[in-house]
Amino acid sequence: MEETEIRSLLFEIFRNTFDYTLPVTDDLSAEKVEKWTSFTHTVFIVEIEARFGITLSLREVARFRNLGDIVIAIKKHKE
Amino acid sequence: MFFTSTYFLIYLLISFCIYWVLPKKALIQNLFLVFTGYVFYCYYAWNYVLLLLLVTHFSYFYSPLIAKVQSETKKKWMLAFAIAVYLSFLVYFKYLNFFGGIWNDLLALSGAQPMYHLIHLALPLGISFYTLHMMGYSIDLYYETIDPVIDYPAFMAGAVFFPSISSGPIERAGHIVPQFKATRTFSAKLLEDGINQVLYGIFKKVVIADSIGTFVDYVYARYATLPASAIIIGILGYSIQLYFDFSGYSDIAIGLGKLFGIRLFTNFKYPYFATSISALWRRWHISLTTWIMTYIFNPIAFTYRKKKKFGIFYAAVIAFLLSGLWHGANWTFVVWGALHGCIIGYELITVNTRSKIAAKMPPQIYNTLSALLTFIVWTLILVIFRADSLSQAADIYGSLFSASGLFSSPGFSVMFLILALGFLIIEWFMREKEYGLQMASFPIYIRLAVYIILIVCFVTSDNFYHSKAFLYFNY
Repeated sequence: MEETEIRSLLFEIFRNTFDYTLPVTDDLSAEKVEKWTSFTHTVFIVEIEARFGITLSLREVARFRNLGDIVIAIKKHKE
Repeated sequence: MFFTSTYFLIYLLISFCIYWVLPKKALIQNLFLVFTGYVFYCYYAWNYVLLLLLVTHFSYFYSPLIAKVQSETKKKWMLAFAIAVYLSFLVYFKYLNFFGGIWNDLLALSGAQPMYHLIHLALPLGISFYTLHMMGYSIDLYYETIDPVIDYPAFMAGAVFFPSISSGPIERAGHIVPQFKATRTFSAKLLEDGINQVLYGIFKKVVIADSIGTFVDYVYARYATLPASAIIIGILGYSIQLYFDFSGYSDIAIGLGKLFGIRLFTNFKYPYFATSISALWRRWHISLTTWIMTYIFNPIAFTYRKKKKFGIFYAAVIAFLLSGLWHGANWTFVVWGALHGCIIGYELITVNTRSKIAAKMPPQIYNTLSALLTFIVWTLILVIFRADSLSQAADIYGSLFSASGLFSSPGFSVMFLILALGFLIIEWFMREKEYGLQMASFPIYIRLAVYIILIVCFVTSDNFYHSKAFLYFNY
């Protein structure tokens, strides 16, 4: 799976999960999105795993700082 | 309150002057702050200084070993050992009698004699706060979210920084250590902002919280004989007192940090304007809430993520139950925490339903009603938090609903409660600022006038000379 494909699908999941209508970029983090809380983050992770068919580890998730980090992690799983 | 004592003011002035005339090198600044941290701690709790040394040094020397180990299993066991060590200190000093009491109750149920004899130990100053700070560092290294700190003075300066050592904000190594690694240069702007925040914090604590506390104590001591109006005002008063007390403390601590060029964790973001309990917790004692969410809620929610909302519900209940227990060794705190966990779980499950209701109403009305309901629920549950026991909480609820005299005079002055509500209105207009009275953008003559008013208010207040301890010093 290409990085652009990953990014496009991830951003779509992100918009749906958080009802986010503003432009989405790699550097978007929880501090900048009101609805991105610890609770919704778990829902977001479940959706990512289901749509990409991967299983993330707790350590990977703990290290996510923004959407760009998630793209990198998914890419590693898809290689 | 030691922040308004003469000794503290002298200590602060001397520390501040020496700190800024010292050579501008991070190492020297940090060594000096470590020294001032221990002077502060020894003055107020010299008998527990060895415990502070032990916990901070254990964290500094042991935690990097967790990061170094390659084997995942070994890593887990090493982290488990670290957590067991931190918890053993907390359990010994804070929870031994609580768990011993439970053990005795269980024995009594089975007809056996009690085996545990209560021991009387004073709670070491700041133990609940610095232990979480140190534990967080170990867990961060396990998750590899930060690198081990090699700079010993920078680590220790953050660990024993005197403005936050007694009651937080609970720091995270990833946030505080980089600030201590850098050389701090004097900033008149930051200094003024710090003084402003300290003055506002003292005002909140001395003039508002302590004044309200007088009638709150009265109501909680005599609720059985008081009219319904007094009980309602007492319950409402405690909610306001707790906010002004603890956010006042946090403003003082954060403001003092700024005097030394350090920005501590934001601890309050206008919690009483939140439109749900979960949103309130994102604005109340933020340093504790983020700690609980990062190190307790997230791992549990992640483990049970396939259960979807029920997994999150379960994680919320466990996380807030432990948050309650952190506040004190009493069933009141456990029940208070568990109730919050259940409410947050409920809010998660009903998020879609509530969104549909919100869509049918004008946003301002929906938000106002939600904020009001959130505040009422929070305030009512705080009765359990404030009560000495669950039975006393039940009695207060009983009196609240059975007492007559809803419209009769409460029998004490509510002037300071009205003043506090006035300040909440000011905070509403200032809610985009870091704290309620941040005036950096205001003209100098307004700032000076406000400073003078604040100083006159708290110096002329009786509470200034007989100020009560911060409520969170008990936790």
